[in-house]
Amino acid sequence: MSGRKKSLLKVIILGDSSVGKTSLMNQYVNKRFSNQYKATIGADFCTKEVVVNDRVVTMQIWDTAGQERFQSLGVAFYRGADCCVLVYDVTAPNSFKNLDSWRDEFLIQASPRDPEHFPFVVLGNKVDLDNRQVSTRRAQQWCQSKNDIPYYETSAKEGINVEMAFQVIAKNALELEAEAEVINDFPDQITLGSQNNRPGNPDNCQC
Amino acid sequence: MTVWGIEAITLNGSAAKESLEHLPGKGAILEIPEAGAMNSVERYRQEWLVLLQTLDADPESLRQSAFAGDLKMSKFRSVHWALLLRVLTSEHRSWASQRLQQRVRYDKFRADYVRNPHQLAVDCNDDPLSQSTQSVWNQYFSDQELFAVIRQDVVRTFPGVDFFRKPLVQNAMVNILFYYAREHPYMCYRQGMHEILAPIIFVVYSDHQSLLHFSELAKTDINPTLLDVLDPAYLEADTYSLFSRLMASVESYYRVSNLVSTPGGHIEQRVESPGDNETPTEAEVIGQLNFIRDKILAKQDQHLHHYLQKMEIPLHIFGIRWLRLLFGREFMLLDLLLLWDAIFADSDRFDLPNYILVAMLVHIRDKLLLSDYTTSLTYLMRYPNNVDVHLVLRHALFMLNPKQFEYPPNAFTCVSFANSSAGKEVPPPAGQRPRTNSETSSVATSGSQIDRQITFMQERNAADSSALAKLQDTHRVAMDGYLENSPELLRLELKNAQTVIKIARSKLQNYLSTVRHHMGKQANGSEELSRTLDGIEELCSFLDVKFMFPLHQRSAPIDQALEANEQKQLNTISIPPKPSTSSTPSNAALSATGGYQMPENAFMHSSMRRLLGELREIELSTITSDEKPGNAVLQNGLPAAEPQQRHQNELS
Repeated sequence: MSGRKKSLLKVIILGDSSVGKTSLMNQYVNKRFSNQYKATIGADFCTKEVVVNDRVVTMQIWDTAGQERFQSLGVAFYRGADCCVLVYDVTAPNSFKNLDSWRDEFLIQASPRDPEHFPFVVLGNKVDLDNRQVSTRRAQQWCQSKNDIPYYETSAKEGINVEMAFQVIAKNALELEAEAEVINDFPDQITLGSQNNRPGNPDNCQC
Repeated sequence: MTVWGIEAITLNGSAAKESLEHLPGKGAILEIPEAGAMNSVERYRQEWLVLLQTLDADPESLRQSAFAGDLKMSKFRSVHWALLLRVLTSEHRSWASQRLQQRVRYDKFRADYVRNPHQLAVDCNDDPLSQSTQSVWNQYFSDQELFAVIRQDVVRTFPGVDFFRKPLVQNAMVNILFYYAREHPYMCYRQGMHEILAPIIFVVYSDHQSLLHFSELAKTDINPTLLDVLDPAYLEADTYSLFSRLMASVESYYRVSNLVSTPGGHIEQRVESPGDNETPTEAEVIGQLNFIRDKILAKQDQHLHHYLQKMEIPLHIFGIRWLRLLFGREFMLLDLLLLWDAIFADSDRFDLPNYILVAMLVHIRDKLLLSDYTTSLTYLMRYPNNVDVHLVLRHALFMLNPKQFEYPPNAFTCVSFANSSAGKEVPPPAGQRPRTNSETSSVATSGSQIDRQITFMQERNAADSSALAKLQDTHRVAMDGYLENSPELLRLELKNAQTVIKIARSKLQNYLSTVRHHMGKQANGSEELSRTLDGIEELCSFLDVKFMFPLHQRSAPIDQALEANEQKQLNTISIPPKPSTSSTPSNAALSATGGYQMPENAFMHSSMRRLLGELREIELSTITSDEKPGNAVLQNGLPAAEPQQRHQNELS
């Protein structure tokens, strides 16, 4: 488990239907935008190799269906996430209002070790559109109130800020990883040492 | 396995030329009266009459034709679906009244659910800010919200298919989904329903278009029941009937316990008493997928089951989508319709999708077993689009009901010999897969690898001979007609056999090079021994075969165009050229003729077989392209020791 996690970052994208989750993922992974993505059913998935802090890691991005709230994907889906991206549409105030419940729901489902410091990133998408309804200030205030969640305004269509936002996502996810490894690996190393090295075999023989 | 090659190809070569001269003329004479006897309008009428007659005589046989994939060309698929889903009864004399009833009901939805308070004389206690559930205004606003939610998905339906861009179709879909949501408040609208609706409206619309087309051709002379049952004016109502009936069967894929939908189409947690918070919400589809995993997959493919467990890939990661859309994203639309024919024909309980899901997994098991976590997930989340829908369906039907359905030989067609070692948890590196000629000739093989290859071959041969045994069984009646005349199946069968031969050949070559290597050291190898080795090498060259065309002893003459296609596909399978003898002058000429003769050959094989009264299952045609036809005749299909020498002579 820990072997797999070291090189693999699990990122989950949440947000209301049609805010552009799939578009953001595809813009980041494939550098492409289409006006006609199918509605995501259940979940979708993409991977991308990224270099963070001189390390090559595979970023596994899980895109979810906007309607797929409240556990229909099962706890297993959220477990082990390294970062959660909350997306809203700057032209749809409701999608902004729902960020609260998306965040809460994620914390319940994923039950991370340290919910206070779990890395979230908020993306306000569709800034290329004219009919903006949620102001930058309002969004920033919300993010500050939630333990300073990093906030970016993106356009999956124009590719604005997408690359940069995902870099931050990867970096934050990796930091969580590093912390987790420090906590995890100490007891692990002791057990591994005692089993695989010299003390292990004589013990077995004697007993 | 009968290898009967060179003779066949030569005879066919000459016969093909004859056929080229004779066939067109004959065909023209034969076909014109045929076409005159029954034009397209008559065929259309005929299909309708046959449908009605079948309903009178043996309504159950409709299921069989749906299972067999016979609805592919039907102009009345929507009627078949209505029958299978029991939207219409088999009592076709009352269809008009059944339809009328459904249409009246649908019209009533409009009156009941679309109420615009702007135009109504509203109760003076009601106002636009009312939160009352009785309030027309309140209802109006949440309806607008629901419409928006639905439209959001409808406009994203099958982005690649023009049909779904038509405003007429999109509006119809929005209305149908809206009425469904209002009729079924406990379900409301859930994402995915729009793609359950899409194939239905496509099929109904297509049938309407056929009717319009033929009634124009036929002027007035069309059966009045038919005109009524497929009246294009009722696209929405008739599609709704099918959709709501289908939803009743797949409802459980969408239902989430403890959740309620708000009237506006959003999903919210049901507010229970505080003590109830313990009970977790659960999507029923997850329970269903666990059932599939434990009861079907574990039984059918233990390996794969363990593998998915070990990798911690739960079925619902991909299975939610597979089931909710009834595999709509995993297959092309036309293939999907074929799958749905069978699903509807099975039963109301919808057991078949469970087995289709497992068959789909088993079909790509090799890919999965050889992949790491991320690659496996990619295969599952983006199911390969080259999978043969027929094979998946046959396999699913067999698992569902082995008594009624044939086991499709090669359901495991993509299983390579890596399969036998997968149980040891170490996927063999790429080098251990069946190798090409060039690879094997130079590499010294390790013992374990040869063992593995032998195990694989034994397994494969056993599978092949059982498949052949089935083909040979003259008393067997093909229930579904698939074995009898399906070129796809035979092609796969041949591909499989070809793999075995390829491996046998590469193994022989390996042994040969080992023996040669040791003989070289001894230097005084006897002449007899070296001639034996030459003989073995000769055998190797004979194993370099390519399957021309599958012959089944009872196969009916098959549509020639289709066979031509098949041939084209076969031709693209390149044979590794033999290094020593590949460039003879006759090459170019042969391949030039070979290019267009193949379809003719295919045709002539069967006609010649009938002529000769030969009985054989599969014909292998050796077409090592470096052999002259004349030589081939001389050899008469027997592996002689000459050809290589002769080629060498020619070269020198």
